[in-house]
Amino acid sequence: MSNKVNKLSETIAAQASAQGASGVSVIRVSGNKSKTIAKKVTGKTLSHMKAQHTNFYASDGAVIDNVVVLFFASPASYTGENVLEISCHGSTAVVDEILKTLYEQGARQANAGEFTKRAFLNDKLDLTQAEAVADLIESSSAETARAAKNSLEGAFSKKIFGLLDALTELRANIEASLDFPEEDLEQTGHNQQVEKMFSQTSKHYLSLLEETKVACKIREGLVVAITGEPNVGKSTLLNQLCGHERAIVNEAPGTTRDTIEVETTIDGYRVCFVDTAGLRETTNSVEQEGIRRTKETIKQADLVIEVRNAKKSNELKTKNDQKRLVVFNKTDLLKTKPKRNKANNGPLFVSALTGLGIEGLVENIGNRFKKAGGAELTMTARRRHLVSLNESYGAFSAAKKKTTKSIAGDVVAEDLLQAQNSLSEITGEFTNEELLDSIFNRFCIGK
Amino acid sequence: MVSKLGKTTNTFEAIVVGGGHAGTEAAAVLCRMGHNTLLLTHNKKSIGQMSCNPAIGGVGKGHLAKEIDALGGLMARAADLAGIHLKTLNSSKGKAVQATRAQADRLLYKSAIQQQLYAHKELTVFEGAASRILTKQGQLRGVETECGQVFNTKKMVLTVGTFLNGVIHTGRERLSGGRKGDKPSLVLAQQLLEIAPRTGRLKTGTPPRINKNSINFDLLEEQPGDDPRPTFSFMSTVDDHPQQVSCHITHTNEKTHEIIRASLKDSPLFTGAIGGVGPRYCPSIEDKVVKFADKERHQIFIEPEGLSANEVYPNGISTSLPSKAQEAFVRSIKGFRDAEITQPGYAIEYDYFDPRDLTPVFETRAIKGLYFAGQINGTTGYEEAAAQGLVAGINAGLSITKQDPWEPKRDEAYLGVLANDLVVRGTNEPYRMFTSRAEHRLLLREDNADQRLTPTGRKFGVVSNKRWALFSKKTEALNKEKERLQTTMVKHKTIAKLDHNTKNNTHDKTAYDLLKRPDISYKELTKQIGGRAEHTKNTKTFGGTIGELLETEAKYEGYVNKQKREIKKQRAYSETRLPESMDYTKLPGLSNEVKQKLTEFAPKTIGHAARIQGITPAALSALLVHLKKQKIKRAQGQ
Repeated sequence: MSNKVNKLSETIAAQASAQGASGVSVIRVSGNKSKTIAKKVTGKTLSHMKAQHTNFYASDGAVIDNVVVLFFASPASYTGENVLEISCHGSTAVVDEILKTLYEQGARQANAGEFTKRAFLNDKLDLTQAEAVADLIESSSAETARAAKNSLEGAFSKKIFGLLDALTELRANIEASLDFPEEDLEQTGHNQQVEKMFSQTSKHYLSLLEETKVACKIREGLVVAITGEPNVGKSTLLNQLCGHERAIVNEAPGTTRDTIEVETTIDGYRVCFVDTAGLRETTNSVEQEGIRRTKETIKQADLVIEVRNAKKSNELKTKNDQKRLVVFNKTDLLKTKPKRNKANNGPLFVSALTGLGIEGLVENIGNRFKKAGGAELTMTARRRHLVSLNESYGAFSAAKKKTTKSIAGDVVAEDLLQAQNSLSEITGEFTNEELLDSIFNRFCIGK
Repeated sequence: MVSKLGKTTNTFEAIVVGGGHAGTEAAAVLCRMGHNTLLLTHNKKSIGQMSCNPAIGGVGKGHLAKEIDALGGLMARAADLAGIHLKTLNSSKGKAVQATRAQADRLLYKSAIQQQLYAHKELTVFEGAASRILTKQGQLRGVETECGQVFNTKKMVLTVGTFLNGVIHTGRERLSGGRKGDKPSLVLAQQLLEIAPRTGRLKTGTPPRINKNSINFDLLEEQPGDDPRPTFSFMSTVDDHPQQVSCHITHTNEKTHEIIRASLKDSPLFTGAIGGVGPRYCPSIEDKVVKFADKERHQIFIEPEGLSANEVYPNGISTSLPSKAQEAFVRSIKGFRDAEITQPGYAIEYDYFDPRDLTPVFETRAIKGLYFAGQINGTTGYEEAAAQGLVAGINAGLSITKQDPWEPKRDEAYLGVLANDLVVRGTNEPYRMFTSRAEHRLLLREDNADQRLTPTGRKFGVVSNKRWALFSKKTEALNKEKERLQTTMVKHKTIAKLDHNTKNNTHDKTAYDLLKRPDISYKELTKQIGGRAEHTKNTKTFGGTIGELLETEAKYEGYVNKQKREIKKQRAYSETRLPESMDYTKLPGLSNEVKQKLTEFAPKTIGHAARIQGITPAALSALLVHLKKQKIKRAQGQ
């Protein structure tokens, strides 16, 4: 390893200050493109260590925020690379918009611990710091991996692996005709088959992209499902929860499913509460699909609040776990006030009607997200999935376009390889050996 | 003994054991580097023999042959001198996968190899079987033959092919030996097991050979060679080719499959007699019939064995069924009704040494100065063997003069893909080259093999003056014409004539930029802007005309630049060495699976580690961090 700063690494960006809402947020950009990006988003040419007060412009020219920018020229910076630091107003919406713009302008999302890792690799840290950073990198990469895995569960995972299979099969077909031109593949309708696979895979991509976009939108925040028997006070609780910060961003009655989604923020985290009213009341078979989706929502929720009637219930000893929070409502109707067993992680007691205990509930939810730590990471991972999927589709479309002109050749295979590489960013590495396996399993190759 | 240099000696700068495709390339390149070399072979007559099918090249293999040629090797030139049927495969699928293949006359091929080899005054050939490797304190000292002669050397390339514990199967019959008629080297095998304990067992097979005169060619589909013909070597022209002949194609049928299915009970593949792993891309006909039961027919490619040979090689029906069953199924095939089998097919099992025990340049870890090349490393094919022989030979030569080793890169040559795949990942089936193994396929074309490798070869002294002069002439012509195209502006009216998709308001463009467009050829372009006739002349020298080469370069430029950027990015850390003494089990932050993989594969660099299946980016980070910590500790003297 040389002491020279690695000039080839990509430019990365992320929030450097703590997550969540605060007075001022700091966003850090590091890498070769930092200076040109700074020029694009502020319209100003920055010099080393000179702070400037300026507008931050979105890609379409709109002003996002009034910010203070500070530029550090390589190697005199934290990472040793060109670094841009943007201090903006501390709302999550502003931070999100600024990051979005930076990504559009050529930076990519920084991995957990990546700034420090670069500082470390560029010899900007001493041994003690280095030891600490080594530990940090080790733990944060494990955390990132866990977050990516978490976001790859359920139906999405099934579909993405389905797409990977389709793409592999397509590649196997094309690679087989490139590496084994003398097998009588062409005579057995091989080309028509490839054409069919292209159009099927294309449909697969489009439907998955559509779903991921929708999922990402829902998933911009953490999903908290509110479940419980009818008349247990779910809707009242929902109103209390959202009224708490009076920061309702969006209210839309569920159209395709019997749910109501409300977005709010807790401790700076975007949270989407889903009221699953009507789950048990439906007898109409037409609504079966709606019920199935609701159940899926509950399955994928980051947290499920189970609302029970404090008066009716005698299961006061129920324990909460990471994904489950039991809340006894209507405590105003109780004669004696129950005490929460905190050590036992016992259920919470609230009165949605009077607002009693709601603050504790909100605090509990906030703490859970902070404690999980992975909340932000999971969302990041999801957004990254969409980016990778888009890239993959771009390369796939390029390949498809070329095949309409002539038969599949080396550059089509190259595009498909890129498509697969992008997809592997979601699913994990895919090797040449696996491709060969696929070829040999599908075709009788060999003279 | 008396060497060709006239000195009486039994000491050589280098010794090559084995005269197959790996051994001949290794010996020849050592001689080209000026080293006094001994080639020890059990049979002088079989030097350069094609022991399997009589063909050189094909997709992936042709790429290797052209690279060997670019470094001054023997194979491509011999394929031209012996080529009786030449084709360019994949001619419509893009330059990167386009490949040359020659059917060779076995006798002509062998003599072309021997002639090139014997032309070196540095070479001594001795007939004898190596039986013992001599060492002194972990250093190579020499080799002893079965008859007790001792030859001294500090560098040796061992290319002993399938002679290690070879067992031949035909039906239920078993026979110890190497290729038909060759002696096994059991004593040597025993010693090698002590040097390199990790071994595996592989198998391969051959089809029955058929008397040419017993085949009814009128019933078969004829396949002539290409016209105009491609050449293999940068140094050849079509005038070097001997008389040309056709190949033929026929197919198995349902009756053939029935006979085969009925005989499976006697097939060593199905009785369990064969435990070795066979190649998936070269299955026996028994395997094909069983595994792809719904396929109605399998293609057979009938290759001539030579201009004067009375045998043909029916490629596609490799088998180890009993001789009787072979005859029955062969005679059920169209055109083969009266076929006379001159030599039944057989399967051969043999040992190979796990190439992961070698350094990236094929040197053994146990004995310094000892290199393994060819089939002994688990590969199959002449081209794969020759490629290893060449790389091992060059590195043995470099180490004689105390120069740094040469490890070809994956983005530089198929030689690099081959070496890297073998020493990093190992193999569990006979390893053959495919273009899909190369992630930088668009960079590694047959037509630029010389540009990629000849300058390197010149540096090592393995490229002759004659080749260098020709290469320089070509490079100059190429650069000059490229510069002309890059500085010639084409008016938008002319552009519209060349490319009908052009919009009216287009700007003037350079001729080179226009050449990047898929619909504009060099030929059409130079009709408009003028050019030298010789650049489009239909000769296949230089691997194509200057015009063709420039057109390819321009059309691939976007992809190539993108790949080059990726490579630069990867290179930043990939060449960081991992110490051999590294104890992965004690490294924090690695999962047990990763620790076990790293210990098993013992990667030499971060780049190697990255290519091992199951090694995550997180694990690589942890490795880098660990190395950095060590470095800082050393720097601060702690």
